[in-house]
Amino acid sequence: MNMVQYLEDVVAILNLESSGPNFYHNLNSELFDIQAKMLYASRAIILCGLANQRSPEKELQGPVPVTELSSSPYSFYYFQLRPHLKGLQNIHLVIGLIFKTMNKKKFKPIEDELEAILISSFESLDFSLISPESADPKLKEQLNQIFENIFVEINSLLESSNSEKSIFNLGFLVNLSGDESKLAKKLMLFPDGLLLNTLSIDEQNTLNLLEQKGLIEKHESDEGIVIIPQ
Amino acid sequence: MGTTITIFSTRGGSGKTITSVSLASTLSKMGYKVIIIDGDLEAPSLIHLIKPQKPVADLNYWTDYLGAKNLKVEDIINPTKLSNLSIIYSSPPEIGKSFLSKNSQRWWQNALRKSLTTQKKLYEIGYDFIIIDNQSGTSLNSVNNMILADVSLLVVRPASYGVGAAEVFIQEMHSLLKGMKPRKDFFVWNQVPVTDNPEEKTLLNHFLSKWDVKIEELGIEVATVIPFDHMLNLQLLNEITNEIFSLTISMNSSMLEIVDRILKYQNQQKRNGN
Repeated sequence: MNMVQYLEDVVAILNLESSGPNFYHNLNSELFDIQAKMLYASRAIILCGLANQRSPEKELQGPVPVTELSSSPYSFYYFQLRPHLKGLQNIHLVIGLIFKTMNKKKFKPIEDELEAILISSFESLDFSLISPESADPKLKEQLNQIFENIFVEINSLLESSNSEKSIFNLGFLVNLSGDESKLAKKLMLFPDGLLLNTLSIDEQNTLNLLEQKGLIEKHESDEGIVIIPQ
Repeated sequence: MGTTITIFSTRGGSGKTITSVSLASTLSKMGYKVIIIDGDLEAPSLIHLIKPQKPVADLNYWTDYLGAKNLKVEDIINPTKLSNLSIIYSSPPEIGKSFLSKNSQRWWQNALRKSLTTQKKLYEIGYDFIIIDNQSGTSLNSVNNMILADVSLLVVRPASYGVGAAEVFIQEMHSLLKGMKPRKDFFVWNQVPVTDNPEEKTLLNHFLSKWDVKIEELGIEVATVIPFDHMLNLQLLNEITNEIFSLTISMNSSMLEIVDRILKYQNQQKRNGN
C-alpha cells in the first residue's frame, strides 16, 4: 500500500457543531460538490441529534453508513466532545471521520487506537474560544491543525496494521527462529545497509530466509551487494 | 567509532538524569567530546538542569526530529558552557506523552531506524560518547534507546520493591537485546543511606550484598555505590536549580569509578577488534 491509497481511505474529517455542520477538513474534493455536501449535512444533522447530552462522550461511535450516497457508499465514525465550561453546557462538537465503506475491514482493527488518537488530539482544543452563539476563527485554525495531525496519525496506523513484518518491529523480531533472529538483530544495527560479503556463509544462508519473508532487500553498489533491512 | 551509554531505570526518581549529566560532564572535563540526548519523553528534566543558551521557543527537540523529515541532526544539537559537551533536549512532557500514546508501532520502528542512523552521524561529527538519559520502564521508546547502547547503566535506589522490579526488567530486556551487539551492562546503587549506627549498617550491607550477588548472576556488573548526598538533594529543592556542573563535584569519585570501568571495557573491546 502506498500513501496515495491511504489518502483515499480517509476521505474527510468534519467538525459538526450542535447547530449543524459548519466546518469540513477536505481531504478529497469529490465529496464536496454542492449536492454531496447537502447530503452529508442531512446525515450529519441526524447524527448530531443522536450525539447529545445523553450520548457517551469521548467514545468512538459507529461506523454508520451514509445511505444517501448509494452510488459510492461511505461510512463514518463519530466522536462527541462536550466543553465542560460554564455557559456552554448545551454545546457539543461531533467529529465525523468519513471513509469508503469498502475499507471497513481496515478500520475495524484500529478502532481502539483511533479513539485514543482522537482523545489525545482534542485535549489541546481551547473551548474558551466557543460561545453559545459563535466560535472564534482561531478555533477553526486549531481544528484545522488537529485534523491534519489526526489524518497523519490514521495513515500511520493503517500503514502499521499492514506492515507488521519488519526487522525494526521488535515484537516480530523476537519471534523469529534462533538464527534468523540473531541475523536480523545484527542487520538492524545497519539501517543504511551492510555489504553482503561481510557476512559468513552460514549467515548468507539464513539471509535467504529473511529475504523470502520480505525482511531485507538487496541492492547493487560500487562496493558490492548491499543488504538493506526492511 | 564512539560509545553510546544508555542510562535507565525501572522507575522514575532513581536519579538517571543527575547520573547522566554527572557522567557527561566528567567525561567532557577529561577531554572527550560528549553529547547527552534527553530520551525521557515522559518526564524530561535535562532542560531544568542545564539551561539552553537560546530561547526555549527556538529549540528543536529530539521528538521533533524523530518525526520530521526536514530537520537535520545539526538543528537539534545545543551547546553548553562546557565546550565539548552538547545536548539534545526533549520536548515538554505534555508533547512527549502524546508521542508515546499516539504514535503507532510503525512510527516507533521508523524512529528506531532514524535513531540508529543518527547515532552514526553523531560519531561522524566527532562525538566520542553519546549519553542517553532514557525513559524508565519498557516503552517502545526506552527499548529503542537500549538498542543503541554499547554500555548501559541501570540506576537503582536501594529499596526492596525497586530492586525486585529491576530483576524482572533486566531479564525481559536482556532476552530482547541478547546477541544484538557487544554490550556491557553496569548497575549503580544511587543515593545509598550513610550511617554510623551499627544496626543500620548491618541492615544496609546485608541488603546490598544480597542484591549484588543476584545482579551479578544476571550478567550485570555493579559499577559503583553513590552515597546519599545531603547537599545535592537540598539543592534539587530549589525552583531554579544551579548549573548542574556545581552539583556534580560531590559525585566525582563515584563518577570516576564508573568512567574507569567504561574506559576499561572500551579498551577491551578495541583489543577484541570490536
